[in-house]
Amino acid sequence: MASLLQFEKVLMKCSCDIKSPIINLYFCKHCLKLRCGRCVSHEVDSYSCPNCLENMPSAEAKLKKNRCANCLDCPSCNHSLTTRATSVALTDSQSPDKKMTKKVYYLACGLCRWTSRDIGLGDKETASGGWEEHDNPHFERLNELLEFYHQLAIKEKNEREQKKFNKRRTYLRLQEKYFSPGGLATRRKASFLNALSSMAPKTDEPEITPVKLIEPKEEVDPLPSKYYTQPLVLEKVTTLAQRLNRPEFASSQVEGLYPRHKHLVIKRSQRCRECEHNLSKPEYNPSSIKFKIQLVALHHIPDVRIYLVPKLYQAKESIVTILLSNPSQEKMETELEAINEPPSTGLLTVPEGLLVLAAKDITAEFDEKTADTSEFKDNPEKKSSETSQGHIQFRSGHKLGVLFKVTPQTSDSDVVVCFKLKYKYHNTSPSLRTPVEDEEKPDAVWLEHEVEINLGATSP
Amino acid sequence: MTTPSQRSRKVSQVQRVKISPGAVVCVEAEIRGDVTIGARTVVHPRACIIAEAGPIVIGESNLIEEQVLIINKKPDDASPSKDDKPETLVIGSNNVFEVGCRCESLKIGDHNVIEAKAAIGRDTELTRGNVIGAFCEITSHGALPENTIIYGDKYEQRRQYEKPPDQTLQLDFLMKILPNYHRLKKSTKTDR
Amino acid sequence: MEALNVVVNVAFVLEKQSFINLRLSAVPDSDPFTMPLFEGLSAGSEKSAVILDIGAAYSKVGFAGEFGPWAFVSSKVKLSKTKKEVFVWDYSSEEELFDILVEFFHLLYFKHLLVNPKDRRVVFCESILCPTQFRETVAKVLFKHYEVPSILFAPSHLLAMFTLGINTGLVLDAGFSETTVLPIYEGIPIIKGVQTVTVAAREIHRNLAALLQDQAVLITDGEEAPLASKMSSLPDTVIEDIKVRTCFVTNINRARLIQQSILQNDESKWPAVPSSVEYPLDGGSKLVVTGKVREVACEVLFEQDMEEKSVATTILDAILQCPLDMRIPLAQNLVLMGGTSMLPGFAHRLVDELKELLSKPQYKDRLAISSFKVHSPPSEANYTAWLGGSLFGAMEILSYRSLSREAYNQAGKVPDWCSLDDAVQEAEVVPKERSSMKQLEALRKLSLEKSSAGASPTPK
Repeated sequence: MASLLQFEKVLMKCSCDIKSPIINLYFCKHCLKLRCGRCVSHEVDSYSCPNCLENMPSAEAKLKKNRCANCLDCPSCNHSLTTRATSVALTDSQSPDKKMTKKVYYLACGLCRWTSRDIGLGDKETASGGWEEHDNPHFERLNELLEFYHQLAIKEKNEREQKKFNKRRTYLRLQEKYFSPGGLATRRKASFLNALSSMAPKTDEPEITPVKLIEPKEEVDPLPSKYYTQPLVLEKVTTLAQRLNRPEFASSQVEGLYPRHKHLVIKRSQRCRECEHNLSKPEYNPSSIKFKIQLVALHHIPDVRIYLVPKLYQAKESIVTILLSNPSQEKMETELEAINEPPSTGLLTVPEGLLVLAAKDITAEFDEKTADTSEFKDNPEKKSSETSQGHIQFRSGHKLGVLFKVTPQTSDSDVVVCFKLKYKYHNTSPSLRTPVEDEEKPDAVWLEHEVEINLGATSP
Repeated sequence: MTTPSQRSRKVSQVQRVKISPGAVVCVEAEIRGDVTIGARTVVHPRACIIAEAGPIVIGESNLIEEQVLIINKKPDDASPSKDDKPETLVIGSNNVFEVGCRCESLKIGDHNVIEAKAAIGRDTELTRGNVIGAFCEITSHGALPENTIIYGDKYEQRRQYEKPPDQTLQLDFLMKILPNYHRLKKSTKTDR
Repeated sequence: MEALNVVVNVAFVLEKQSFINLRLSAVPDSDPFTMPLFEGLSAGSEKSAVILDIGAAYSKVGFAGEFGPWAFVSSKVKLSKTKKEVFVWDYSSEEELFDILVEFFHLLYFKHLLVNPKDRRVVFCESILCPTQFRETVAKVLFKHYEVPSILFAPSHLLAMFTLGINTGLVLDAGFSETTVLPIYEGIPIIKGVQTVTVAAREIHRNLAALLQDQAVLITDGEEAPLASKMSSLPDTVIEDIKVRTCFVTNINRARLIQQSILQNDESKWPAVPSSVEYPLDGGSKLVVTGKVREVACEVLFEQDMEEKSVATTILDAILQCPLDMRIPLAQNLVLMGGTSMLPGFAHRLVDELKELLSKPQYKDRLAISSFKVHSPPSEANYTAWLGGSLFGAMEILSYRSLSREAYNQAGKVPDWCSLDDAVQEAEVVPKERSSMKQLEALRKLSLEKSSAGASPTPK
């Protein structure tokens, strides 16, 4: 029941104590711990343009301000712009009666029908455009300021270096005095240092050219009288969102809206914070949705699902069927342990003893007959043989239906039960096992995770 | 959509459809009532033009695509006393009605585009160069200023500096290709 | 494709290396012989810092040395847990804020900036009145969750001075929730002079919403009806849009006439009303925004409240708190920033109001100021603080001024910028900063961190 659309019914606790559905979890094969989106570190993996799906190396992306070189966005509605071809009639200057047509290109938006002609941008002769870029209106002034602060910073930095240098020199002098009397090499070094330090004030203190001050104005431009007298044409005034798209060129009039290069998107890779191994790494190709590495929990730890919940009544024991399934291709031993403390709102009794999950056989899903469950001897009829048998509802392939006894202790909120899921994890990937480890310890370890199941409300 | 069609299925009305020479109107288009279609106008199959409350006059070089409904509709609360003179729904020329749009507006000028699934109410007037974006329902009264464009789910409005380009090439193409695959309604003889 | 991959790998290796360098250079007090070498290396390849300015309504993000923010985004984020969109500043507990910030910074880093948080220092522009809890949580999220190498908490008012290359001025920041004035003299903020009123964009929105609710007419399908009868409230985005596109700050003469007209309930005194605008709400209804509403909406800025405070009085009150010899220089160096100060007519009206207030009894005998001068920073007012951060962040000395992750991890808290507690500062930094201040007056204003505050117990 807890399936695709109801994954929030069964939650697992990861290493940072946040409960998440299993589909949101990663399993670090190196630390053998569950990781959620919060306890992994995210990294930018590759850049691409969402429109043309062109890859861009990170250095170039930074240079282009995270924007695609080719694709443009509509300044009015942020839709992607398309290049339109049209032909214009040209009159030859030499022979006025001879008419020529020339192919020209302009930009147009399919959604709001904005075109580059709207703002008086001339048509281009090449399809790729070469649309003018705008420099910040204060470009020169800002460069002056940047240069000025750079000088100040260099100066301060030099002073710091100087101090370190001086410290070092005195140290050397002491060394010279006490530890290596008359050493030629050290003396030479010392004199060299002396020379440098005497030079230092000259070289280190370049004249700082102060940035020129732009005088504040006493007269502030008053509000143009058109605000009081002329009618306002709403469509000609830009919206805040349009202005904030290009904060440096914020224009209150639509004529000032210029197209913007499309913002890039990234693929993220995720890394375990403890062992720094990658847990998820996408393929480089922007159009591929596959991953090079993807250690999702679903492929490694037993999946817990709600199979059947009868009507629940407060303080009355009911039997709930829970489905455990084994994702690995090896037999898996599991054990359950109820946790009857908050946030649990029902008393839970879980099957005792080992529950063995059959290996996952991919072919079994297509051919039911191959699944042979007899080896597990958990047929409900033969209750006597082992302890846990009575709790097993059914077995089908790698799945096991287990019976939980639940006594709800609440009537107004959902019944939540918690238990520890312990299982023997077989490290299946060969590359992770060094020969030494292979000899010293078995490649299977017992792991445990806390699981929380929401069984829904009780019936009155 | 079926009720008005059943109500007005009268032979006399069907004959009142006037199609100018040069117009391409497919037989599968549903045209009822007093409808006049101008030259070089293309009406796709399954388009619906229904003159229920009064005549419809469509100008030249319009493109009316599939599933379009142009209707001169009786107001829901039409009181019989007010019903002195039927109003005519007039559509100018060079307009484009895209797939699935609905137009009840009584006055549509020239060079307008009504995009797919858009709708215009009876009292809205399109002047010239207006574009009603896909899925926009405009019912406000009065005329839209020229070259106004309404788009998006928030009905944003902007003013274009020129009218949308004519669909001349598309019309030429359709006039050539449609007769190959569809039967056409015959144009009415020139005015006698 | 092969070639591309190689390029990317190389880029990746380079990234790694610079990261290591960065880490090394951040190790405090390593061997003095190797230190400068590493610093030299890292300075060349160190990536430009990230500049964050998290405003109450909009956040500005980008990189040091850039002349405008790369993204101007609404300060809200959709929480993955509750699927609700919340404003960053709408938090009830530190835990909640932590969660919000984790998700919000994720959005900023991986959707807008597209860089790894680990690789870059952070300059965080904050209001001087920023709650300690907020700042502490920001540090916690950035250091602990995103593992940034260092953060510089920079007061936005001081940053504004950077964009002008001046060190004395009176900075007014009219943002979304409040308007704050801070006098700065020779690079030293006069803490005593801080004035703040909670009159800013939010108050304008509230006033505008009330005015529309009270007076506006809604035309639906050709029928006019008062807005209040159709809708109980307009969405915030619509109110903001109406303000941005139609409202303005009227001049003082008209404002006085309007005041009289309202007080005396005499319509005839109202000056010629500006045109009204039909604002389309959707396809069927239009809202009539009258000229009166357009003109009156922003008047809340200058109406004195119960404590006789308005945006204009804050400036004079701030000056009054300063010593006599500072007053004229401060009045001659007004700096206006924040989105609200971009309203058409704001600056002009403010200066007129100031002049008029000077003749009022509460200021007449106490202030000997006759004129005011207003600076115009090389930016739009809504990102002036950000730009200052960008200019500062581009300086090589950023690392000396910032709080490093190591220092934070040792102390476990952020030193308050006006705290005199030396313990958490990097021991090495303090004396140097002082010496540099002695030597270079111009550098004083750079000392945004504690040194400025340390010297700032206001001269009386």
